[in-house]
Amino acid sequence: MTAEGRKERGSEQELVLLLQSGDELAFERLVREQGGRLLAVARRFLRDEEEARDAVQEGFLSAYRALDRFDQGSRLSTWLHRIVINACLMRLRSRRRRPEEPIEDFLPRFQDDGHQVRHPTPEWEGSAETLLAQSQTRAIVREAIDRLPDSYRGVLLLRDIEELSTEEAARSLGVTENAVKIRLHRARQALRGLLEPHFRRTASC
Amino acid sequence: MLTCREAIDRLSELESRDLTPAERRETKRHLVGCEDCLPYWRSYRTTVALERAAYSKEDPADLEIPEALVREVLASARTVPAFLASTGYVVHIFWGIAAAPLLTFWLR
Repeated sequence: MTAEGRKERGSEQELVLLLQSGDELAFERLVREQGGRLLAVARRFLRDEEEARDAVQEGFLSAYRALDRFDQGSRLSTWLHRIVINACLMRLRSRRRRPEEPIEDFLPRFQDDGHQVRHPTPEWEGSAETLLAQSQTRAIVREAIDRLPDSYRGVLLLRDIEELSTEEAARSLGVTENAVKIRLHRARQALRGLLEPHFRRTASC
Repeated sequence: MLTCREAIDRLSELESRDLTPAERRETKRHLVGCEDCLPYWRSYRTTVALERAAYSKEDPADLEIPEALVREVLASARTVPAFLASTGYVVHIFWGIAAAPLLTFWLR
């Protein structure tokens, strides 16, 4: 660990001690320092501002109740992050099913002999680096992620954005690791299908 | 020989290096040699790179917690009495329920 890392860890240890002693100012500091980032995470999962705020509030309240059980095996921010993600996933599970576009609409289709139906498959305009240099790209990608059905978007966010392992994602979702792998692949394929109209190379005249 | 469907079904595992060396070779051999799967593979990898970067440059305003939410969080935390903010709260509630009949008897 670097000197800066040790200093940061020391500062976090002090904060944890204050939190565990019930220091209200320490808790307020925690909410202000971490709340914005956690709200951003909740928005990605829930796509609803009010629900995202509620999930963050629930997450902080759960953390407040469980502070004496925080054993500093992980960073405080990581622990909080997981609590808020779980709050979001619980909301997604209990949410009344909204009309969703069927994911099959965006998946590749195959003939009986295993060849792709679509022929030829178009190339895209460029690499990710090239596309990201365009100002609209991130917004286009985020909107496409938002269009994915909840169960697929959840896995994609957990694995590719929040960088949970397959095992951690499976545990959070209450499914098998195999189910996580299958859903992740389908989510990525569907996302590709949603992005293709924006990024495929158009034929030059 | 893999079909296009089989090769594309392996793309996620190819990215996460979950295939055996033999499976990896077999998959790549198909992808590189197929005029449909090669561009599909390229765009699949681009998709994964794009989604990983999608939230990397969020507007700083979107990363601030609204003051109203800060107040709500603090207010809800204050409704949790200090002695309940511990693993012992269930024990306290249990003893409270158990003590009720005794208290009723004593007050008669």
